[in-house]
Amino acid sequence: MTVDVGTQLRKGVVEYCVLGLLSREPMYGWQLSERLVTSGMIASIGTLYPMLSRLRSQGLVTTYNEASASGPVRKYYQLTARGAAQLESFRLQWEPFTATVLQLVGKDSS
Amino acid sequence: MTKTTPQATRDYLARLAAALSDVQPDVRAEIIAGVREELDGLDAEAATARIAELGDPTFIAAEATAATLAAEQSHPTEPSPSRTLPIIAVLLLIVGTFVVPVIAPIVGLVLVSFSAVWSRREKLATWLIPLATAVILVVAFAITSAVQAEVPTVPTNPLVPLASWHLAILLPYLVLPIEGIALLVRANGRGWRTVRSLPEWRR
Repeated sequence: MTVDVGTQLRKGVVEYCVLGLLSREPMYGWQLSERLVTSGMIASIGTLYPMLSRLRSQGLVTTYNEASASGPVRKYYQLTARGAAQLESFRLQWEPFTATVLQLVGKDSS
Repeated sequence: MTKTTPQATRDYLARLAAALSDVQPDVRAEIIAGVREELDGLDAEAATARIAELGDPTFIAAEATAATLAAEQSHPTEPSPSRTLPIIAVLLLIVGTFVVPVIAPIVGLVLVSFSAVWSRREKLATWLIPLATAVILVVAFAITSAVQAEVPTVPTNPLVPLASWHLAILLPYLVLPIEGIALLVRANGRGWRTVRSLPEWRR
């Protein structure tokens, strides 16, 4: 069985991508979904909501409701202090980690 | 969602709800609420375009199921170190009073507090319910005593249960055993696993 490398890599980092997006501004489900689907990080909202639910149960994000200008009340997700700390810890490790991996696997020989 | 909701939106939400029927209830509710919030207020044309972006409900459901299972596997359920302690704790609550009154149920309460198979909320309730019952009984007894002292000619009505201190018997022989049975049922339903090892929605 061939392991899809892209899928495995995305699984490891997608939660941090959500935290990263939320660190800039609170976002509602569709906003997050659109952004992540466009970037190729998730395939559909089916992946997003279980992840948001998990992040919330870990205390990394919280939600609040706000009425939008066009009418519907939207549920916004925002980063908690714990989420910000988790993101910071990821940011600190990510660059050295990718540098190490790059060193180990080597660059494309073509 | 109003009566003016486009048919396409109603159909899509119905298909989504059906497709998600096997997904964890909280995740299912979140997905449906998220999609509903996104389609709310859109006219038929805009809703159709948005629905096309959202994708097939069966695909969404399959992804949600896979994501939820992956999360449970990455957070494996650990068996309780031992079932003995929690089982002794509930038995002490249920029948302890009949064996060693007062002491046995108190030991049961303490054991419940130290067990990992019940949540903090359940442990708190286990202590508060008998305490609250005791307070209510004491207050009720004090009030009825005061009333009877003021009007000594009023005979004690045996049909008014709160007038009797005998009701104190409710606590060890009814409240605590019921609590013990409730804790037993809850822990057994979760396979006596530690609360920490359970997914959030099962706690």
